[in-house]
Amino acid sequence: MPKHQNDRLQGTLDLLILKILARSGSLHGYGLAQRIHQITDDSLRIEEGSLYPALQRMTHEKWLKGQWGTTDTGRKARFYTITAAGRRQLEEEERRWLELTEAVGRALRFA
Amino acid sequence: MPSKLRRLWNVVRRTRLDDDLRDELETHLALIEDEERARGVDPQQARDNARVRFGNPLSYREQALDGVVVRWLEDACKDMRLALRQLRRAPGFTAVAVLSLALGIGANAAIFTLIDAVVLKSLPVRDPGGLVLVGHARARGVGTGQRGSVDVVSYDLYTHLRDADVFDRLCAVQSSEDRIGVRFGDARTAEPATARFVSGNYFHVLGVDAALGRTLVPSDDAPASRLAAVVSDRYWKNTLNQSQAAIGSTIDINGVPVTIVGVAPAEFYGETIEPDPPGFWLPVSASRALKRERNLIDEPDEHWLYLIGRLKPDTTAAQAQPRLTLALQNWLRARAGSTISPERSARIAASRVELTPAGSGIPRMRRNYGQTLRLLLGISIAVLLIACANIAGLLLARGSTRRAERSLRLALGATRGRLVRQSLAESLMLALAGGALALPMASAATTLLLRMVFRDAEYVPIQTTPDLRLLAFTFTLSCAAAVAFGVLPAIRLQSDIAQAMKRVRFPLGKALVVGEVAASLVVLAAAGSLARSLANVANQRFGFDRSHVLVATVDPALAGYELERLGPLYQQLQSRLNSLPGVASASLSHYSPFNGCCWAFSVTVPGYTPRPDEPMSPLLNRVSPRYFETLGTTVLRGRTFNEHDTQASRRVVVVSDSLAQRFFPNADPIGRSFTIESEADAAPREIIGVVENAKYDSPREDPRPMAYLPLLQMSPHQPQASSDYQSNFVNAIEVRSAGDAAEIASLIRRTLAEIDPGLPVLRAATLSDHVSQMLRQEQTIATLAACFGALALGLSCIGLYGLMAYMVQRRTSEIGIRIALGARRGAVVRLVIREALAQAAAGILIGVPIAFAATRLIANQLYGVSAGDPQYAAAAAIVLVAALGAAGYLPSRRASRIDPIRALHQE
Repeated sequence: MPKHQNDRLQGTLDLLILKILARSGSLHGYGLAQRIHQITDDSLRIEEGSLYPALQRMTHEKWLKGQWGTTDTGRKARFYTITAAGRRQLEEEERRWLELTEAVGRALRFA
Repeated sequence: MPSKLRRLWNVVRRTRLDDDLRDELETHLALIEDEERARGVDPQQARDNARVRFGNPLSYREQALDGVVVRWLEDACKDMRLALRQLRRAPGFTAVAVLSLALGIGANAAIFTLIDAVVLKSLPVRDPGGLVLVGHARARGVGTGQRGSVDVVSYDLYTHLRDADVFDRLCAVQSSEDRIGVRFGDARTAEPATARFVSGNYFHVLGVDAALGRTLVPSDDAPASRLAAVVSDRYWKNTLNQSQAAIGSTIDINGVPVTIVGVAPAEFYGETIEPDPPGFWLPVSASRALKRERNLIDEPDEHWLYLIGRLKPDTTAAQAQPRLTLALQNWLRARAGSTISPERSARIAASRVELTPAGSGIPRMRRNYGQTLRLLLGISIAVLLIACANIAGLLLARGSTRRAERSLRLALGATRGRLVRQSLAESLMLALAGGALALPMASAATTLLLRMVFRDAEYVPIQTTPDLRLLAFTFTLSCAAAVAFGVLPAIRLQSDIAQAMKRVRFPLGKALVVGEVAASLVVLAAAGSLARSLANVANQRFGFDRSHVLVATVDPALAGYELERLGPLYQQLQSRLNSLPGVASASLSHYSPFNGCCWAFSVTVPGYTPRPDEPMSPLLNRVSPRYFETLGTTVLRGRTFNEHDTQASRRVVVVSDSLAQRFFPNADPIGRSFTIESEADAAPREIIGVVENAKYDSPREDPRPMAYLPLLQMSPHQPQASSDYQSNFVNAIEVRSAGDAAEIASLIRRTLAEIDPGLPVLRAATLSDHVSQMLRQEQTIATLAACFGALALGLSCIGLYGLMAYMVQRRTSEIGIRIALGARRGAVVRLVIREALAQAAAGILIGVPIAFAATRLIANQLYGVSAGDPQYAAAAAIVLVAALGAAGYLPSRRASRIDPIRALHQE
């Protein structure tokens, strides 16, 4: 597995997951993937291959909590919710994201 | 992170995590399928589409798992790196901690090596677990008559039990060993060596192949076969110079040609782990030729063999025992003949065969040293605990000074669990470093220990280089130590840090120091009483004068002497040795103190009626004229032997004071007489002299009553293998001389070679060597206990010093204020020392009763030391107070030099 814990793109995925969960409460992995497609108008396709490692890692960081439940169609699935630590992380990530985009924007404007 | 390692971790940690993830991925796949189907795709197509969209679920799973595992590992690595950095930043602390741990773990590892070799390890043979021993091998040497559980058996009884249809294979091993004289080619003098007689199937039963040539085989044991011998690897290397030509060559043993057929494997020392294991294994039947009249193979009632075998595959020890017992009792009844007295019949009915596991060989050393080793292990564990308490204390004190750093890290988002893990990582690093350093120390210590315990042995078959078992032991011990000293500081991290910052939590550190002092007191008190005990044993009067006496061990029977030729030989030896320059006096005897003891028979004393169960067997010895003069045993009354006490003259005896007191209380024993059982048909012996009591067999027990017979009044009784007959042969030559022992020894060797080149000196050592050899074990324990005591004391001082130094640092401002307000420096010193002594006093109060209990526990290893004697605890307490006071003085001096201005500025 490539080592990209501090990768910006991955940070973006974390940010998206945290934001979506903060907004909509509890979702399973498939639901999360669907939601990301929807809100980005399919312009950001999330690979399932990076989704689950991210979920595992974030659960390990105690940003998320996973709990088994049943979907509307009666399937067993793990539903993720955001924790208090996750919310703090979200604030942090959002702030960093804004800083970054602002900086990049400034650079683009004045370069 | 290498990917192989990562995979490995995945396998290790494939737990619930894995199952959950699989379920989760399957759900995801199913939900895509549902979605496809909802769009009207047929089920098969929907599944395929879903798989395409989703990709390979297995690889996702591995990636996801890898994430978790890699994170865990990376954290661990980071913790270790951080721990290393922290330790490097405090080199003083790290050095003290690692060194004290290394000493503690090293001491334990050294003693473990010995316990492992002596008690735990299996014989280096095939399937050692299948070996059983008949009896418990408590008896050794030669015995007559069997009672209770059988330990040694005669050759006849061996064949009887072997054919009892219980054993798959059964071999017989001589329970003692023989000193033999080996002559190579046309060498003039015989070289001494040790040999053990074994049945021809010995190597086959044990499961040992020859390293070179062949082992002994049953046909070697047939009466008419050529005499064959297997030599040990050590003998082959050291004496035969690794010569290939030696295999198959013929040498001269005790004057008889013997062929060397093979060399045993290097790791094979025999069935008994013991110092100086035999250099030769000879077939039992060879003893007819090699031991001549002393051979026991044809004496059915002389029991001298251990039996080791393997049971038939479908037979358990529990099934075998009653069958073997029956066979034994049948044999004993057949031996007793047609008329059996009721007493003897009862004895036969009570005799039995017990089988014990023999996978680790004959438990001789286990019996002799097991208790000692356990005592030493106890002491070394106490020392290790002190070392752990010490490091825990240091870590706590250090932890308090690092509170600021820790609060900062918590504030920066480190979790508390992470901090605990880091603290544990630090402990583990310390412990592992200590363990790594302990290994070479242990190896050196084991070598030293072996040299101390077996100073006279040329070789002890105990490996001192670390092996896997020792590595495993040391590693486990290091981890245990890390837990022992790492848990307290870690627990403290768990508790609320903010709380901890406000409250003074130092009582924990104080408790540790108190515990250390208490444990040190116990170790010191034990060391003190062991040292006292050793001094008591060593400095007692043994009943002879140890200095300036050389004892040469000889064996005329080996040189082919028979009874008729002994008299002239003895007279020649006596006169030649006494006329040597520099020799004050010389004598011959059947055995000398602590060298070849004991020979005993019961006596009948006219006019003395023994109690029903009173033991009536004094030790007997045969001695030449000038024996008491040479040994320095005081003659209390009458005379000792001279040249005129021969076969032709009146039968006489010299007795010890204790024998005279017991059989002739309140009367003059001179002129009285008694009869020795073995001489029942001869006239009674008349007492001509009384000498002081002397110890011949055990330095700890009270001297046994002794009767000395004149050497030249021989016992011509048969059979020749009987101890009575054998007592006619001298085994010791004693020479008193002020000269150098080595020179006297070579002088004796030359003189003997002149008289008869076939009569070698088997061993030459001074009488005090013989005594100190008996005390070796005691001496080793006492020395080690003293070392451990010193170590414990040193560690406690470091611990207290650390605590006091910390206290002074923490109270710098308070002390500064005191000084600013006019407190004298002396008062400050007193303040700190009082605190130090308070810890010491508390530790001593707790330690004293434990020390009492501990001395009582080791009371059976002490000589002349009463179990409840308070002086050792008291002495230990004084030593501790002095040392701890000194340890507290340094920080107190620093306190008294605190500059009040600087101290106040610091706040």
